[in-house]
Amino acid sequence: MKEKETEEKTYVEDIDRSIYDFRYDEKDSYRVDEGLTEEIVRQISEEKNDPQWMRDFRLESLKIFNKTEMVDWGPDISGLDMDNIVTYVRPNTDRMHANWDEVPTDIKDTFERLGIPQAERESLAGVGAQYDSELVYHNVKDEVASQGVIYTDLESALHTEHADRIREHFMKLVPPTDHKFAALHGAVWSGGSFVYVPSGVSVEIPLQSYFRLNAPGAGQFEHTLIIVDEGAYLHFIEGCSAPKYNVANLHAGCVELFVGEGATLRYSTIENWSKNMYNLNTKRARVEKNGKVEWISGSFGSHISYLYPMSVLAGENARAEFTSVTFAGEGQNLDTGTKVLHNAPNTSSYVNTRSISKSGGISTFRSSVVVSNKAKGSKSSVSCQSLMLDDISRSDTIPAMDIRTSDADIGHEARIGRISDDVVFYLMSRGMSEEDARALIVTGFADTVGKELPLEYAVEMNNLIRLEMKGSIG
Amino acid sequence: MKDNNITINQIPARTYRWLSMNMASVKSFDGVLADASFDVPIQWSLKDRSYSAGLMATALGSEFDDIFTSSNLNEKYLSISKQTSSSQPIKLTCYAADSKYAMIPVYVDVEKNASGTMIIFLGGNDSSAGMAVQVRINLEEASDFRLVCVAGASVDNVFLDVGTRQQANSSFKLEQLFLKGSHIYTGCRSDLIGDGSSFDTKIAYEVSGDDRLDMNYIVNHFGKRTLSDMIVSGVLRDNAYKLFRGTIDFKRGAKDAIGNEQEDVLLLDDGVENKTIPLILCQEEDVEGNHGATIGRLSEELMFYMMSRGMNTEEIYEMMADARIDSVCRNIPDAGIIEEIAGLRKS
Repeated sequence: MKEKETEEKTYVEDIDRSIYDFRYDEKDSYRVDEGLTEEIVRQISEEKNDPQWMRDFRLESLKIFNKTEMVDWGPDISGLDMDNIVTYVRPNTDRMHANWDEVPTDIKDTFERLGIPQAERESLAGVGAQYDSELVYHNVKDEVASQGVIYTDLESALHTEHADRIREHFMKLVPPTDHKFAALHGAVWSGGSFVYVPSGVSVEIPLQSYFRLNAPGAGQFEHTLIIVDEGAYLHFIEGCSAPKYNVANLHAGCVELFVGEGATLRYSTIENWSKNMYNLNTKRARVEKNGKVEWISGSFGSHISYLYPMSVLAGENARAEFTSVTFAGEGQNLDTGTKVLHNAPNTSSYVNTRSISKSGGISTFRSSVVVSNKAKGSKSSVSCQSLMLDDISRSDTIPAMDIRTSDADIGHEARIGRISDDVVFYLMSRGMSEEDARALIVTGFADTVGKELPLEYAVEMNNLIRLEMKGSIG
Repeated sequence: MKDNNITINQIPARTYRWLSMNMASVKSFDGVLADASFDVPIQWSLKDRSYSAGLMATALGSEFDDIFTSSNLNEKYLSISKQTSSSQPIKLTCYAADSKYAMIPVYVDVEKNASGTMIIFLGGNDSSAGMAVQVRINLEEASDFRLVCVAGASVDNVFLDVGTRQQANSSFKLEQLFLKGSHIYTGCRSDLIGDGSSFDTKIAYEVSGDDRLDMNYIVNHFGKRTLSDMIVSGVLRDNAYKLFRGTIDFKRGAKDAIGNEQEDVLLLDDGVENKTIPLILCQEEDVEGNHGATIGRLSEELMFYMMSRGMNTEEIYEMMADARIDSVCRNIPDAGIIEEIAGLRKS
């Protein structure tokens, strides 16, 4: 019998990032100085032509940032030096466009190579495209707009009839006091989208925002605010990528979702930042009575990620589903998961995650389920599974539950380990080679997210996890 | 009590601070050597020796060790020679009294191929008193040790801290029952160093009134083919608080190791606060780790079955609460302690 240590290992190829790893020189773009000072925050506010309340909000957020401690519980982010980060880079265009032909050539080429205009033509109801700190393109189909759906950039919406609604919701779910990088976001946010879906309107095909960070050493701080009113439906897709540089880049965006009574919002993300990226993003949804939020999340990129979309179930019968896959390869430490707060009767949550680590990558599933004493009759089910593909990687699960009512039904299960020999044996007995059997198992392991995405995006995700198997573990 | 706080029961990998689960912070204290009763079977040797903190890591942590060190106490050193087996358990009983913090440091050496059992019973009704017990167990190759602990003392703070270091093919069984105590801080850290060593624990608790139970169990799998099993079940009533931390840590090289943990909690009143954080940390691909938790109500299928047998909801819940305690209680190898437990549960 062969010793296991001497056997050739099943090989799973790393994610192919070549389609994302191209860059253009910054030319004619405007950038503020590196670091974070009151002067820089005022400069950004000036650039944005902020109303006074927003300027005050930014300055107050800066104060909170300066007095808030760094987290002491997750991956090491000591390599992120805010003194070296440029918090605002405006590309070489002075305005947002509603026609791709008007977008500057290098930026348009970038999005062409990423397939965004094609996706818009074939499968989307609207698109927003952000390049560095600014939205460069925004468009929504007429038939969707005619239903009263608003899909626009957040900054110009601040100067329209939507201003009061934005002020009422902006950073109310994720206040700057939430954590240090929420405060940073409050101070220097730039770009992002505002979506409003009126009562009873069902947007049948998805909207998408794509975020591209091209500038080396820069931060991207877009803010996405979505309000889905009573009984409405929306699927929103978020994509992000960047070329790789040898300096740290930072993404500290913020997503706030308000799901009204009986409304449903599906929020899908395929995240493929480059491996020099610190992805410290904050996402949160508040769900009212009979409403539902569905998070679909694929995390493939970044050097370090802290990402835990949170659902606040505020109304009776509100529901949350969270489905995710995380793939951590060489040089990556991806700390992902979710948070759910049950704060009303008969609320329910369902969490289903998969994580894969290989080539020294570190994957951590971190979650919290809190059931308050107001949430009688609530149910929660959390399932997380992890797969280690070699013995130089690391995979941790850290789920927490805090239950404060007797009338709740909470279940949690987690599994970590290797590819099951029994399953391989079964597939081989059906005529598959061992290599094919193992490839099928790993692909199927990640398929929980893929099958939740529209076909075009599922194909993209499957291309990301390009599996090439050889040898055997036996 | 002293003015300064100590940090105990830290989990190996921290999480969100706002959950307040990463550790416990408690007032430090001055203790005295407990007036405990030790029944020691003839196969065992018992002697006093000076306490040394560095010998073995335990679950409550180094700041708890420091209290023993600064108290200049002798610890009870128990040992059993190789190839020796003792069918009679060592029995340690201690009743809190006189508003004092009773401290009991114990070190157990189980030599190669030896086996034994120890029962610890903590009782008393002095609400201003406290107890601090630390048991460190060194298990040599192919040895076997079983530790049974019953906390039934209506006192202020109870600290019950266990640590093991295990060589190849050694086996450690831990059974614990927590019934009384305003604040109980407990835990066990087991280092499965040798190949084929195992850790098996069964814990039951019933926490009521305003009492608090704070637990921290850590199993470090270093050796190949090591096994760990944690089964925890309990009942919370009134305004009780309970925090269970359970960690299975597969270190690199622990090939073919298997670790399981399961917690079932019945919540009987709306004032309860139940916290659970079961961790699996993994640096080795060739392992199997599982954890699960069920919290809150009984399943609808079970309720339907029981009700079809003529029981009402309250009777079903009380019966299931009793079953959780009985699952540990019935295996205690001492009729006197089982009687004491019955008395405590009626009171």
